[in-house]
Amino acid sequence: MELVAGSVLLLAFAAVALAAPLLAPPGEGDPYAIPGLGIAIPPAEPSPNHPLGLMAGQHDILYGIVWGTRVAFKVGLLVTAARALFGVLMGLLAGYLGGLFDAALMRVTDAFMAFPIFIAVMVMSTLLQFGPFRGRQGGVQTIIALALILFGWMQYARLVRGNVLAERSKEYVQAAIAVGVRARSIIFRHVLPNCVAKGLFVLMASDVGAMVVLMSMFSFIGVGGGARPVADWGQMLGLSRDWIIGAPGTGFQYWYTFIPASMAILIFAVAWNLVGDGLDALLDPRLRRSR
Amino acid sequence: MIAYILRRLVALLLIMFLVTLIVFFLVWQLPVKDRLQVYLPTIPSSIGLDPVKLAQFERSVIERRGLDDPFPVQYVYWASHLLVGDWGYSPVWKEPVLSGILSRAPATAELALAAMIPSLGLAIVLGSLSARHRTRFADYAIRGAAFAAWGFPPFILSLMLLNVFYVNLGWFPLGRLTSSGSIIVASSQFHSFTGLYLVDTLLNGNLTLFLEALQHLVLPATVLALAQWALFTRVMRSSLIAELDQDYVTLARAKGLPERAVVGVHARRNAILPVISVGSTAVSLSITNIALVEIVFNFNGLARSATLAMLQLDTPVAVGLTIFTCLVTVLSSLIGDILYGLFDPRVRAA
Repeated sequence: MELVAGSVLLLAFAAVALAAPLLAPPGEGDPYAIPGLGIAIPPAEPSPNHPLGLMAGQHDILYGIVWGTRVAFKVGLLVTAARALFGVLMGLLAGYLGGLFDAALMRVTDAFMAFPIFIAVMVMSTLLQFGPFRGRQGGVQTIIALALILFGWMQYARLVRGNVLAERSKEYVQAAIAVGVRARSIIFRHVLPNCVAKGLFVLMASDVGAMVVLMSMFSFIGVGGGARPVADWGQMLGLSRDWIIGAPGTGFQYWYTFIPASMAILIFAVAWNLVGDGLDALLDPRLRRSR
Repeated sequence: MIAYILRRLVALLLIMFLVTLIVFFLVWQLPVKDRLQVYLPTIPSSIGLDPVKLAQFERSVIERRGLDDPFPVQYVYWASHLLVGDWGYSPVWKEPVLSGILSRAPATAELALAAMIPSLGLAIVLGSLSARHRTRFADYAIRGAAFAAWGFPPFILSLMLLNVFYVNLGWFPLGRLTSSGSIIVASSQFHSFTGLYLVDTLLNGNLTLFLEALQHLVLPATVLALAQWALFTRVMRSSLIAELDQDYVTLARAKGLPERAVVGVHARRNAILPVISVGSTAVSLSITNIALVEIVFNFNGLARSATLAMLQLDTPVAVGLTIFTCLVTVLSSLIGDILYGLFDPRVRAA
């Protein structure tokens, strides 16, 4: 049920992402930059030509939402994949090698888990802007993505380590060791496929939405959001910051500057959460019974 | 129990050592020139604009601070300063980082507690209700609410609440207090005991100010509490369900114990254990949300003013805040461990 609802939503997003050039034909140059249609500052209400209105600086909001779908998938999937890859490798090594390596790695995991993700991103973006990323276009965005990876692999490592420990004592691994199979192929050809299904995809699914929400939050706060309007839901929200709060009694006066982007982020995150929860129930028979 | 706490303390020290290593590794990525900026908020007027003298002066600071030394030497130098409370000087706050953090922390602590206490209490009550009426209406309603509260990004939620309750209805103001309230708090008649306005106003016997502080806390604390509540409720429900399937519960029911005693005296006590361990890890999650709501609702706590400083690339604040929050998360997991030990005698013995 949850899985179906989530998948349908995600398929809709994927369709929008794929059909972006048809839904919102780009002008010349970078299609991810929202074309500006004028220099007027106040946003413009929705009209037949611009169904979701125009942002400050006359940038079409629908265009940004449509092309932003691609950005959301790209960012969410890439960051999640990198987190998972790094975490799975660490977990496999810790679980399989065991001993001192395992103990040391688990302490390092604890240390990384002490950093709340907000703090990790802020300290990295503050410090590294002096370093190799100084003055580079999109440099801060790269730093944020790096921080989300560097401080986000621990859950995967813990999960996989636990799975490997449970798997290692089973007969088929003992048999492989006895026959003299090399450690590397035991880890990757035998242990990995058996413990991937347990929890990994569930964790990844809910992470994709969470990454998009976090990246948007940082753009909104003002970390990494440039002044050039690009088709990124978070940055669109950030650029509309001045229009979100109006005079008393006029809330939602410029609703089109932040509601569409907010809803896109919200539904995208909920869809991935639904898929995660659905997978969880599907793969864990104990949960299925209690429902 | 004491041996158990000591073991946890040793683990805590080790983790903090690794944390400082990670942070210093990031600081190390800065070129010497930029690390120098941290120590050079103003250049003495005697040097002026003379490039030769300026270079000499920079050189002398680099040598005095050991900025050219190898990693381990610099780390030891930096960490020993950290230990004695020299956390550097913030160019944006215009005060030493450590005292700046400590003076701003109570506001944030107040917000965190105002969200944590009701969300934990409600989660234990509603989570048990949901577990005891599994697959009935109450269960579906509570689980639906928890799913919605968990899935709704706090960031989007706070923008919506801001427009409805602040801009349109005008029920809840932004900030921590009105300006007249802040003047009273800053005056000499008002004695500051804890820095938590909810406590201090009561101790000073000023009920109007207490209500004012409470009114300012409602919106940010609601956003914070909702996400936590959802997490705790889900954990409470599933752990109580697992407990109710245990043999000792069947035995208690078989010997004719009333259901209230079965759940209240036996099962719930065990079911709270996972909530405790999730609660101490949820601190880390909440810090991200606290920073967000402080910024959106103009709540002038540590997270907001540190974020504003960091947006101006105030590196000493970034480093100091990181060390401080890591200490908070690590200490809260220690408290979680101790509570766990109090509730579960098996852990102490292990």
